[in-house]
Amino acid sequence: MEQAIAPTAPIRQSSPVSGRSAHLLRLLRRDRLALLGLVILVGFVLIAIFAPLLAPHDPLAQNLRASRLPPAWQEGGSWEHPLGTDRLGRDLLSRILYGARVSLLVGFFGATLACLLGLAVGVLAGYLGGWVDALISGLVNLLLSIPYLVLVIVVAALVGRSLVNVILLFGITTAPLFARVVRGEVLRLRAMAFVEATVAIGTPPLRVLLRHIVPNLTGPLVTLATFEMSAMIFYEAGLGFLGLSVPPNVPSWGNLLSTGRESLMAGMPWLSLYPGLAIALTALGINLLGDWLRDATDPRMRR
Amino acid sequence: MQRYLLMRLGQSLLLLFGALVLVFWMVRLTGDPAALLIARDFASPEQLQEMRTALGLNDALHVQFIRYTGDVLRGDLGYSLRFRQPVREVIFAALPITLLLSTLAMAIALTVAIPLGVIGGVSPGSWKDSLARLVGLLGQATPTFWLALILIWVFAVNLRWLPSFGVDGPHSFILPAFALSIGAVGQLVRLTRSAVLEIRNEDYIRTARSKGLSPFTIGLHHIARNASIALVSVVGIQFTYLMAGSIYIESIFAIPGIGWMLNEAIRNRDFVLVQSLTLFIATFAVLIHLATDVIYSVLDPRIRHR
Amino acid sequence: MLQRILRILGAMAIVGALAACAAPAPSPGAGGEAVSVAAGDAAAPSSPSGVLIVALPLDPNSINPPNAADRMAGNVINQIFDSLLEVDNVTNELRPSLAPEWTVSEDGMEYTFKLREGVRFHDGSPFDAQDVVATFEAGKDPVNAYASAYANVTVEVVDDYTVKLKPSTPDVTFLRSLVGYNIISAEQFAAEGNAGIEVRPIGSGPFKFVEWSKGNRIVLEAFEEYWDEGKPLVQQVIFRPIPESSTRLAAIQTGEVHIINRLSADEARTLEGVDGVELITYPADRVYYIAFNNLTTGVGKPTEDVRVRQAMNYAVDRQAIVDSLFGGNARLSAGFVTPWNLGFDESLQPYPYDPERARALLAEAGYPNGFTIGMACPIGAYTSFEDVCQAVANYLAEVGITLEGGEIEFLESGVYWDRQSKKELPPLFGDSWSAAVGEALPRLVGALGGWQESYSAWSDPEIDRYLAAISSTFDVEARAALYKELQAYMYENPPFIYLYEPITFEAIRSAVKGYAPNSVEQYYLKHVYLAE
Repeated sequence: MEQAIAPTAPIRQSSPVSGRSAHLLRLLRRDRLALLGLVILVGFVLIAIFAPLLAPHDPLAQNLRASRLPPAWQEGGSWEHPLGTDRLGRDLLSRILYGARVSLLVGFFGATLACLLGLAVGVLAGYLGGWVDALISGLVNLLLSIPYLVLVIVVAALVGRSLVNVILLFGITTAPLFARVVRGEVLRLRAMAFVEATVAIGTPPLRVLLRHIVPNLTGPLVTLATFEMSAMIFYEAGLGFLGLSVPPNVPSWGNLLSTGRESLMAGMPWLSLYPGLAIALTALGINLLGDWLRDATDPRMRR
Repeated sequence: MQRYLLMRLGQSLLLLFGALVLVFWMVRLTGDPAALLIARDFASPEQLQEMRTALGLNDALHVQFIRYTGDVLRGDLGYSLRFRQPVREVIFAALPITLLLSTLAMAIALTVAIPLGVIGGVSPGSWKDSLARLVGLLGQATPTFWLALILIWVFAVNLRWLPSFGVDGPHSFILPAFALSIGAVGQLVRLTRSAVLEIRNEDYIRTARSKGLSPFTIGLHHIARNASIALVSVVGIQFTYLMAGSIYIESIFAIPGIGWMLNEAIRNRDFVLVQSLTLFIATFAVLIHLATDVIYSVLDPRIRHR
Repeated sequence: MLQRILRILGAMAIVGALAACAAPAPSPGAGGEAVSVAAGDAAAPSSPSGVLIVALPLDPNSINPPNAADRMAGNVINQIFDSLLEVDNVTNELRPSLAPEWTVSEDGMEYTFKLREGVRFHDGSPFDAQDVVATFEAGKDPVNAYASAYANVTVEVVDDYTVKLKPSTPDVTFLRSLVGYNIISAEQFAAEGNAGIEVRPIGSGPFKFVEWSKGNRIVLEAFEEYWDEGKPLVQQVIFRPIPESSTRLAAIQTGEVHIINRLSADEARTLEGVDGVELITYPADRVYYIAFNNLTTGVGKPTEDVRVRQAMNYAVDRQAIVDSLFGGNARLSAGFVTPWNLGFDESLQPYPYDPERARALLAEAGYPNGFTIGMACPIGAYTSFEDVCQAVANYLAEVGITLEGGEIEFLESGVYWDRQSKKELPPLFGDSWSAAVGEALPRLVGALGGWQESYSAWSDPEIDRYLAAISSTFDVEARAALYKELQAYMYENPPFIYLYEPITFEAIRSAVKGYAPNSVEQYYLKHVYLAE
């Protein structure tokens, strides 16, 4: 379960942001694995968005008379339920498709929340310095000193199970990671010649911040957010395993895998096999893309 | 140097106190352990109340906190409601098991990951590199608990090579250590590979290459040595992750270590044990960070002046 | 349906053919008939031999008798300690243990026991009346889980080998409940107190305590001077807690353990036909239900109307739930008294699945379009119960009863019971209740006792009247008649959505002989031996 906490972003030149995208696209086309990652991620997002159109059934609709059907190609299965059904007769494929929604919500909003919180707090600390910095850095270090999984599990056990709680939980507990990266970058950028120059000619601080510093944070933040998104999808599965994720009736991948694991050795392996594959594939895709993003936004890798 | 160390030590102590405060209040936000401890058939409201008094749960929270802090400073971590034993005893019985398991997992991860990462990093774009990347990604994309169940199924039930659970000797640790290492393998392959890639592009390596040194010599003398500096900073942190990952592995393999214990404590809402375990794990992590920093500053003097 | 019958027949055939140790479905009243050693089995050894390894689904919270909060802890304790009385391994009837004879006063307030002489504890100290006194003295320490139960009993020493026990309130199940009061050594209690017993329990039972490595193993060894001649039959018993059910399933197949319990029907099915493994199946004395609340959150809700509660009972297809989630392995519940309880009314049929009738009743009560109400269920407490709750909610929705917030409020079991004890759960909440005394009284009082009981959310004067009458009627037949009347009343005025009584699955290695758990999962390992 030890997931990518992306290493602190490598040192970056302060080259202007514009004109980079064309270059990025060219790079992307050259790296087939990254392209695969992008395809997987886009596919995953599309599935999550269009789940209601793609899913053959309502993921919550029970049919106790058609429960525990195996996948269609196995004996006893039917194409009515391509990946089979669970013990309440709910369609597994539909649940996995809708599960992508939960995972996307958790991963996307979790990472976004963490990113925004981290950005706000990190910029404050890095820019204001002094006691604000000391306080924030102290808190950040405190939260980062407790192994992430332990922190998440303990808090999850305390706050109770709901989708919002899980998103908040991931967002807040991951924010320190972003804050640390942002603070470091801000400190570094502030010392850079071009920023010092703009400050010297009397540009207001907020403007310096928004125009010159925040845009330069995009690279490392997007990279980190990408890794954290896949980490959160993964952690959701882990919480599900311990019975601490979203409520059991919500078809999240973590819940599917957790109830499915008992079925692994109880004659219904499909119930955990396919959710497991979905998680692994998505994590793989996002990580591939993240790797590439890191390399691509790191100028020294651009050769 | 000394000043740097003292400063880091002071920071660490502050962190630990912060962790103490955080954990204590976090754990008390919900719930009442008395309801869980009392037998249901005999529970009248008065009896629940009596039980709370007996366990000291009726005092004001700040009183409980001051009492707890004082106890911790004296080295008394409290009494586990779940295990009905002093927390210190409970933790020290479980600690060696988790340390052994994590160390084994780390050893496996390093043995597998470093060669793969170096091979990949030395020749980027080759099939060997693709293999390394794939292993790295798969390692990170496989849920440990899932792998654990598969390993039991294959190696214990079908092949009968290894025990399916428990701690009955060295062989009991093989499957759990492998399952636990998977995430670290992924992480370390990737880190090694990118460290090697990065160093490979440093000027001095390019100079060495242009001087016609054999790739093997370059790999051994320059890349490996410098990459190992990068690894030091990660291995310690990975170790704390492995300890945390033992929550899953120990529960599946019925291994009575720290991870299993944390899970038990949470499920039984054993306040005292949850807070002491979290504090303990945090202390452990802070010490590892501190040690890592010290080693790192010795290896790379630039750090001290940051 | 046919498939289900075939499946059950299949399972029975396997168990029957292998013929070892299975406890078949008990007939009402008795706990089940003997199954034991079939022809061709190796005879019991003349002296204890072999190591028996028993998997536990959880690590016991304590093996100090008044603290054993769960059944698994009780099962470890029962091998170390004796009680005054025990339950027969096979017939499930009361029989003497440390007290060979007893008399009960006419008003049922005084129980006089003759104690067995010549019994020794594991530390060599002799057993006498002082040990009975110490047992109740130690038990009533308020930190103990069962403190109040112990505090309800006064002990009077008549002579060294005679004691009088007096319950503080009339208790018709008192004699039976004594099985649960394990006798400790007065010497140990005086010297080490409860804390000492926690770490090194000393009893007079068939096995003596050797070590407990928490979360890992509990080791017991045969006690050579055990008073019951020829018992125990194995040299060592090792309990291994394995929390993950998949791992337990693996361990029985590899032979690393001899006995596993609490299998789901699905898991049991995968063990069918596995070489060296036999399945044991028996009905559990446990009732699952969705409770109503008329004390706090349910006040003013439609569920106060009896027609609504009946409608909800008609709305749920219990059979489909049981078929789908338990492979048909559960009895549909028609009340709170089970077939192995005193006074069970077998004429009572479970509410049939009849959504039309349900809608009609709802319309009659003034809710033709249904209504919205809150519902909660515990997580991780019972096998598949999360799924059961979702299925029930689904059936309720079909007759127009929807859930507040659109979904069941699932709570982790610790939090759940905490809220339950404060009567803060929503007007519908799922739970289950077992009974260890052969009568339904404790669970009836516990779940329906109104404000007096922590875990009750229901009060009905009529039920109160019956419960009071049952509690004070010592004549067994009169009591049985009262139980029957109460069942009829509770059928017409359901305080629950009745669900099911599960059938339990366990698996053992073929070498294990004489293992026979009773309907509340209790077992006495002194009868068990390992065939070559």
